Amino acid sequence: MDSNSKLKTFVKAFKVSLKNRRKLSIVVNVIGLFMALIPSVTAVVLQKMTDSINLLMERKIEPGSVIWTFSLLVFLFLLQVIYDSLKDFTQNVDSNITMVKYIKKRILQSKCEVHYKYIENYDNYFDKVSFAETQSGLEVAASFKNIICIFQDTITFVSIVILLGKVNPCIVIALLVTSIPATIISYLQKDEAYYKHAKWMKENNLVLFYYYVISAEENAQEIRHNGLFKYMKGRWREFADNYIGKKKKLTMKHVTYNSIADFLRSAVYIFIILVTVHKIYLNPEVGIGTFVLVYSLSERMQTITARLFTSIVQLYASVPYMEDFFYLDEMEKDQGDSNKPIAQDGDIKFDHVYFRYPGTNEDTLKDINLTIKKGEKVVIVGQNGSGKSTFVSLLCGMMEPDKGQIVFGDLRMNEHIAEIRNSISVVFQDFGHYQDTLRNNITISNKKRVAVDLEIMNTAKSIEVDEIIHQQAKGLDEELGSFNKEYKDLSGGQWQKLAIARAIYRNDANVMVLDEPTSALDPIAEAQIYRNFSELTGGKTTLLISHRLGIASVADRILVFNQGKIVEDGNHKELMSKNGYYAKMYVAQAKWYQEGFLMRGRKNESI
Amino acid sequence: MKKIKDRLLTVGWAYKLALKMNTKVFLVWTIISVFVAVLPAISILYYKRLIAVMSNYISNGLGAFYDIVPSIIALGIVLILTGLSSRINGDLLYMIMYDNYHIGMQEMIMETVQNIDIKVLMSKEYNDEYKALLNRAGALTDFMSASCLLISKVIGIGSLLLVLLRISKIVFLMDIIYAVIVIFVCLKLADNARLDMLKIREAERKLTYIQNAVVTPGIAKELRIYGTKEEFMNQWENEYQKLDNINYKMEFWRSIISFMCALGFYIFIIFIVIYSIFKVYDGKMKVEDFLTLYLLGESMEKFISSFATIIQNADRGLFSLERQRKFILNVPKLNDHEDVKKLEEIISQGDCVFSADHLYFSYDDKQEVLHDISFSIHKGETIALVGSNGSGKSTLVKLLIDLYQPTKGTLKFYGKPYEDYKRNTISNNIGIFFQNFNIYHASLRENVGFGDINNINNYQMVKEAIQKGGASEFIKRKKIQLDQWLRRDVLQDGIILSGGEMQKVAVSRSYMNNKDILIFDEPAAALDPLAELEHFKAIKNKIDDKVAILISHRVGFARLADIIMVLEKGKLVESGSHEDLMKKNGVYANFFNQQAEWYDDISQSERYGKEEKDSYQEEKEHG
Repeated sequence: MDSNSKLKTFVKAFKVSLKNRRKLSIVVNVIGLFMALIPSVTAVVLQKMTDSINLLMERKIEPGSVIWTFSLLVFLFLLQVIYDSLKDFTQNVDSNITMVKYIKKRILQSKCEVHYKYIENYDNYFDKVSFAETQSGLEVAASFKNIICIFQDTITFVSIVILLGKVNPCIVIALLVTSIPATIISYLQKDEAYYKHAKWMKENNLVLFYYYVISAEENAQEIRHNGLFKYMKGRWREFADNYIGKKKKLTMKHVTYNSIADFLRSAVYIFIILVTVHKIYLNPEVGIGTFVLVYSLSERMQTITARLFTSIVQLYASVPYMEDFFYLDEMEKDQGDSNKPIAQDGDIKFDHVYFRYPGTNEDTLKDINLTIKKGEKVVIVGQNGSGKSTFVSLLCGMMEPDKGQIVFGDLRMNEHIAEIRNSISVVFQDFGHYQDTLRNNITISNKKRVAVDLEIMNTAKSIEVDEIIHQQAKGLDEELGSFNKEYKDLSGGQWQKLAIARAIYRNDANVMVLDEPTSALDPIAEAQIYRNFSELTGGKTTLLISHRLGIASVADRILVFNQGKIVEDGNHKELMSKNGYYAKMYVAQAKWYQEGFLMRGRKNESI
Repeated sequence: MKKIKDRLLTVGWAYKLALKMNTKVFLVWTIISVFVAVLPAISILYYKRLIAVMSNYISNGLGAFYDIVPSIIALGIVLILTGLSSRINGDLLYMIMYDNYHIGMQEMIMETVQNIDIKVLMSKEYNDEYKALLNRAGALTDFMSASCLLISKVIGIGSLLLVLLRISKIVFLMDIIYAVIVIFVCLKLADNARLDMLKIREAERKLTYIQNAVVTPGIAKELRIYGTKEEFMNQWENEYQKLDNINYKMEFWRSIISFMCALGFYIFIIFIVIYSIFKVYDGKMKVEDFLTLYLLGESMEKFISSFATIIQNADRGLFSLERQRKFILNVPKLNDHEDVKKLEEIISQGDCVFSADHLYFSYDDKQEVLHDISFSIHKGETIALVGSNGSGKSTLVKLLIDLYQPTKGTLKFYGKPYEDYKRNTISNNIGIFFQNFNIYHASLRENVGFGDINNINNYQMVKEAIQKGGASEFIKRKKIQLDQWLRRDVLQDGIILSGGEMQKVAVSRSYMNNKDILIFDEPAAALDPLAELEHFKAIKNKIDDKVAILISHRVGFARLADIIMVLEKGKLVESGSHEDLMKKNGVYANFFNQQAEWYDDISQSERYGKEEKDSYQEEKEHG
């Protein structure tokens, strides 16, 4: 990480920080540069006033002149109060409101735009996002404020040095020297803290994670049935103790070193006060005011020196944090774009496609080579882990093949992902349950289509989802999920039908992909889907993954996957006569429904 | 009035909890805080002394430098102590308290939740409050850190006021009145903020939902295919705007109040100083008193200006704590005391394992889910539960495992009513595969071992269970060790299993320790046909002398059962063997035929004959 790119990162952070400030706050910050002189001016006025009070006591002057000095003091204080309030207000608004929103929005954007592989935690995406939200984003946010503070502090620092130097240069030197340890320690701590923070989060995450696992309602039935609470709590306790122990150790170290620095800084006061008082005793004309001046300015100088040097050092050390945040910008983006046109209908071709999940040792798909004709209804079967869902994933452009090409019509997937995606409609195995209205749960697949409720209901009717809608008090406008006061939720089967309706609603798609779309449906509902299959899918090229081979009779073609390869390919009759893997599976399932199913008494089952 | 009483009670409750969670640290912190709070006042006293001596020397030439040195050193020591203790206080103790309270609160919440009946947890009446309890484990920390800070500031002001008392009684009085007014105003402000807090919570919930939804795999995929990014971003933006507006308003009012308090105080100081100037002129006040007054004013102003923020933070925490306390006190809890007389063991009399007599059940006491159900299940019987979605199959199972209790009617286990058994006795005897099972982010051994927690460290038993569950094949193939973690929620080197593999692990869980009663709710939903067949074969082989209850949409497997029970809309409409029910041509027959019609008649096919011969041969060989 060379200094040139570090500078670039910092400038980038500065610009972001500046852009997200309200105008008022920028004005306040600029005024702050002038306000930086106030502490010194105030100290001088206070000095004068102290001396006048002394004279007043000796009746050498009138109250009037003291009051005049005092008014000046008052004026300065009022200025300070007003400025401080404004500064606090604008600062809090900026960091707690504006910047937080910026960071959260940026992260949400990243989550929506990033390549799908990151959603499966490629490259530790979620850790990085979490870190960005809680740590590095804030560093970026604070960069503008930090720079301005540095300038302000420098001005104050210089003015104080001049004033104290006039009393006795030794004071200045002593203060500076004792501030150095604090600076060094701060630098060291910051660096360490950075790496440790990243590691800590894991320990704390484990604690929080188990806390939610134990307490969440989703897990309640299993935990109670199996009596898991005591054991799980024991684990949680282990994690908690581990976390606290580690953090305590680190904090102890941090506190010990910083305490030493603090001690030095405070001990120097004795020296300073001795020097000043000695001067006064040598030369009473110097006046008590000098003591007051030195006392109030020393404290401030200590604070400012430490702050100034540590700010500069921390600024430098915060660059890695900023880089982490801007890493979000560099992540590979998803190529989808709903504004691009829909790809033309055509054959789908897989040309010697190989694919392997990042971080695994074996290809999940090996040499997939096939053409699916326009309008064909294809059923994909195979063991779990044989590559069916991966095949579908590649087809939808969620991932890219390592070797080979995928072509839709005459569009290559790697050049026209957006158009191809726009022509696909899909029901995933883990389809989305949106906590939104019934209407939106259906129409979310095709936001461009403007449909009246009648059309939506017709779509729903084709798979008997309309019953579900009619059962709800508000019909299509009924909200599902926890934001509905009545807390409405549908059963697994009802959700599945809704998801199919969603896929059908995207009627201008050319390709329909269904991954186990009837797994939660009871026999009657499932049979209905099969019956209306060609109606539901229309002329679309359809790919259906299913373990339920009854569907084979409505398919044009069957692809059999085994260990990443397509081992059989043909229609039902062909594959049955082949008597291979497919036939074996089919018979295994069909035999349950045969008339002559052999059940010769419980003990002599032959199945 | 009641409001104030509630709040005070909650404050007391919170402090009791905190004290219990980490007594030592709490006490140490209290002592050091009080000490630190008092230090500014002490340093002012010494400061005053110094000024007095010096001004005496300047005006009258009395005293020498060496006389004043001890006082200077004393002042220096006070300043050193101030510096050190605020470090120890602020960094170390605060850190420790913070983590301890957060974790202590988590512990308390977990214990509480476990003692609440599951039906109550899910009920509309308590579910919202339960979620509020769960998500605000940090409330105690927030409150304690803010309130402790507040107390130290108040003590600080108190000590300053005491010093002030020795200088001028009038000023002392006025300062007290002023401090009280400020505190009162801040409390009122915090009170008004509570309504805003509720709105903020609502908005935050929605925002969190959106932020989490977009990284759920299903929604993330659909987002990229259907191009719904804009929808989500806009929804989020709208909701966030609401949040922003409220936060801005709150910040604005807080700043105004802080400003007014500070300004008011300065104006007040102005009068005091002018008053003091004349007093000095009249010889009634000395220089050191004047400066002390000034310093005191400055110090007090520093304390007071932070009040608005601290009080608001404390109130925020208090607000959540109030809700939590109310929930914990009011929620009906499970009672273990009566358990002393209850049965811990099964004394098996006769053949009947489960018997149900006119069962009724409802989740929310409004809609009946099970209606007048009666049946009996005997040892060694295999039962298939069949019915359409929502007919009540899973609910009936939940009653059988004593997770829920029937609202009317009796359920008996081995001849004795369910109420007679101690909690968990019945469930310990049942191995169950839930349809919405969980795979936990823990080791493979634990995931399987959870089926019989007492044997979780029994590696041999776990291996046996894995074998029975059909999971040993892929585990061997993928070379997964028993102590390797599954899933990657937190630890990055966990193993990710496919849907079917996870299902097999969950099934293995139900086989732990060879329980006499096994229940499988959709155990093969994610398996391919061959694995499905293997699976049901395995079940059939393992359940010879056990009671097994199967729920599956693959109605064909009901043929494995001795008795098929058909549920429709919560009623038991048919019951009998496959042949009986097919003859009846009722609900079951309809289900069966609806599935069967999609399969060819293969009884004559070559393949079918071969399979039959093969498996018959196998059975003969392996006995």
